[in-house]
Amino acid sequence: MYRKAFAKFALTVLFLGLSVAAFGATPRSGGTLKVAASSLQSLQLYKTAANDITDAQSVIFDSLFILSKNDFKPIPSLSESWKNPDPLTWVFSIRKGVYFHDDNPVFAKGTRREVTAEDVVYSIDFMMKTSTAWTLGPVTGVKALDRYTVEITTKTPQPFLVNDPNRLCRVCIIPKEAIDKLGEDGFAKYPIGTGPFKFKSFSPDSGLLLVKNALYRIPVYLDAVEFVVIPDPLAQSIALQSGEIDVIKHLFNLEMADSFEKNPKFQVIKSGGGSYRGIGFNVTVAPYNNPAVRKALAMFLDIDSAYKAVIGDHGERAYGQVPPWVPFGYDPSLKNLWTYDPAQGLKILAANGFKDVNGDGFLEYNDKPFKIEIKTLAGSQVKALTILATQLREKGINASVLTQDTAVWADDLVKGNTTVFFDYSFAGTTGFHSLFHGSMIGSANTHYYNNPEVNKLLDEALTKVKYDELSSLWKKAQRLVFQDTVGIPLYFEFSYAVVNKKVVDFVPPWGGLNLVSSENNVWLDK
Amino acid sequence: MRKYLARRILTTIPVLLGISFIVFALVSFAPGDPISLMLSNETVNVENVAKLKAELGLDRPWYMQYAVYMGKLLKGDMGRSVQFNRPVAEMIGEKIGNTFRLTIFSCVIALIIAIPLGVLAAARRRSALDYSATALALVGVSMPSFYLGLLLILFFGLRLGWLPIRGLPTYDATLLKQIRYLILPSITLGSSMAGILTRLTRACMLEALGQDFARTAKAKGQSEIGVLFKHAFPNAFLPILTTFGMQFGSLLGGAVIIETIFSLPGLGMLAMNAVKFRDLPLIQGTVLVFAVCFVAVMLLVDILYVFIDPRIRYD
Repeated sequence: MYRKAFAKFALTVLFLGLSVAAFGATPRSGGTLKVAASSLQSLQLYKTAANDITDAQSVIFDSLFILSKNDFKPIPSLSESWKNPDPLTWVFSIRKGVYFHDDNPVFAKGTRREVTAEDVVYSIDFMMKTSTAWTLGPVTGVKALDRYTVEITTKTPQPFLVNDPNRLCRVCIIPKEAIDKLGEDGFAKYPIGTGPFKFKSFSPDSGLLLVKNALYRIPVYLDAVEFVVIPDPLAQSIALQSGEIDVIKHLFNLEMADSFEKNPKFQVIKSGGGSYRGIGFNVTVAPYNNPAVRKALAMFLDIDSAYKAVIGDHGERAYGQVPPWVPFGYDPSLKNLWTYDPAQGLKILAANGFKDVNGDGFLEYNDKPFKIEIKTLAGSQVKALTILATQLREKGINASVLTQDTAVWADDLVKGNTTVFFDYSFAGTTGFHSLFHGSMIGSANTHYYNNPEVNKLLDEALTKVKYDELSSLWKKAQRLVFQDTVGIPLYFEFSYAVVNKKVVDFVPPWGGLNLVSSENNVWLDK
Repeated sequence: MRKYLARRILTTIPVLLGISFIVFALVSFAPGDPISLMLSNETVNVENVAKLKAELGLDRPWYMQYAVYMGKLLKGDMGRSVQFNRPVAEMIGEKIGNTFRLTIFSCVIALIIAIPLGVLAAARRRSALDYSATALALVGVSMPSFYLGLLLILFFGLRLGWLPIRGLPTYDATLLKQIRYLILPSITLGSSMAGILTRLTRACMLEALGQDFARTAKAKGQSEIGVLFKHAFPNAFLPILTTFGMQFGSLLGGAVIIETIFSLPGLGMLAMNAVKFRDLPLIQGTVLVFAVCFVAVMLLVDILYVFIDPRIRYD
């Protein structure tokens, strides 16, 4: 009998031990989490898509829903549930008993006010009127059906309204009386939301201090969060090592990821997202208006060796624009579009007017000097593009890389003052549409590509609610785009956050920084 | 003196007008456009960006934009930042104090190092002290400030952990804490000035010490310190003061880089971000403030001449 009791006791101890090992230590309350930010000039809503500003706002304000850290699908936040009764209507049920922060210039201490559907309507309208950074698409109406229900109607079916990290997910729920009383500029100096942290103080481009909202619907472990502005990426790394900060949300210098990984004091956390990096063509300019020439140029590039030499394991080869982390449209079968065959490339170019006329070792086009200048902005891709340009030069194509100031690069791209350029996207859900839809010429479609067939597929895809239908159309459009070699996909670069080991349950931001959510709750270990 | 001051202040008006015109024209003709930067963003709201462009008058020719800008400036309105849609004057107001603190602290450090070192180097000519001062001055002048800044951060901030690596504490900053944060950026910014002033002080002191009045003072039994500081130094000080005034302008320019390295939110960092974004009203505002500061310091130097050298009279 004693033996049996002892066995039971031993099993219980073992179970408890395994539980602790499996689920980690008990969360501890207290402490200030210090998060590095590159720039934090203003807290004005929707003026810029800069990560630091939106990350700070996402812990002050609640949005209707957040995107799951696992699959980037929407999960409830301020909205408990939502439905799509017909393709043009979305109905959101607002959580009851959620209050705006008090103890501020609008709500005195103890006079907090409950969030209602009217606040959500006001917040969505405010975003649509004032935002230059984000768009909600063709929303035709927003109204409160009752105190806790909001209805949004759209001109065409709009599944992206909820599954894109940059649409409804970006709407911060704000109190109307705060904007009325403080004005837009004043509200930016004293933002009032419903999120897990309340505004305490802000010094532009220096720091932002937020304190725990003790009445948040999920118990908040951290006492405060401080965003510390350190513009230089190297200085951010030094600050993390010296203990001045606890978190680098976005590690700009990928080479640092390896050194942090080797250091037992820090944890490198791979984000679920990343970015698309490729080469784009302005398809309206000769000879790049000829798909055969674009295809031939792609044949000269040994992309695998180029990107691996630069970013190693911190990325993966791209065969299309849609990355694997987007829940629809990723198509590895596009691999068959890309072959490394310089000999065949030369033949195609020869058949299209390319010949070394003057014997200088470089091809001329229609008997005139031909030079490829790949315009790019600074970043890890410069090294990869330089390797690829060298590969082209070795095969007789006079290619070089021109690194430009970001504003110049963007201006050249938007105004079509380019031939070949570095093609970049955060590779979010609508990134593919922005880069290749004809309606986006003059903004994000810097290829000046306008294929009615692709436009039609993308328009139709935007109306599909079911991911499998959407995915199928997205893949068809993607295949058409890359069969046309509008661009040459190079690689998807992973994104990393680095945290001090004492920071527990941190999730790298995607569509906002979630420090306290139904999926994670950050706390500081001793 | 009053007439002189009034004349000097009046002459600054065309100078500032010229600066504002040149900066406006240069930035307008420079490649890059803030609206394109917004439009290139894949999540952009094209309609609202077009509205913003019209609101800020960016759809007009540059000379019309300049005329509107100057009209507003005369009423004290420096316009709104394109990137943040915030009043430029307010943004500058938030930052100017930090830049002043940094430059003044850098000047103080530069003077504390340069004057004694230069005087001593002159007094002990061709000694080990003189050679060391010369070598130190050369290092200060020749080492790029961004490099020196990083070295100081790595050594004093990371390796020894003695000093913070940022230029400003965010909250609850006592004066002592603020000074502690300013030490590394100020040394970095002031090192070049210290080097130049050390060399200049030494040269001017040597010249003054070779003059008859210095020799006479020495012959009359004046102590060495008395000769150095009572007779030679006041005569050597005018060129040092002029160079100091000129160098103040360099310090303001240098703040652009130092503030970025040390994460010090001042006018330099603001100007840097404005240039990156081609935020014309913000660039114009920061440059004008820099220009006004420089002109004011030069005027102050001219006024100080009168007090330092009684022979100088402006009337």
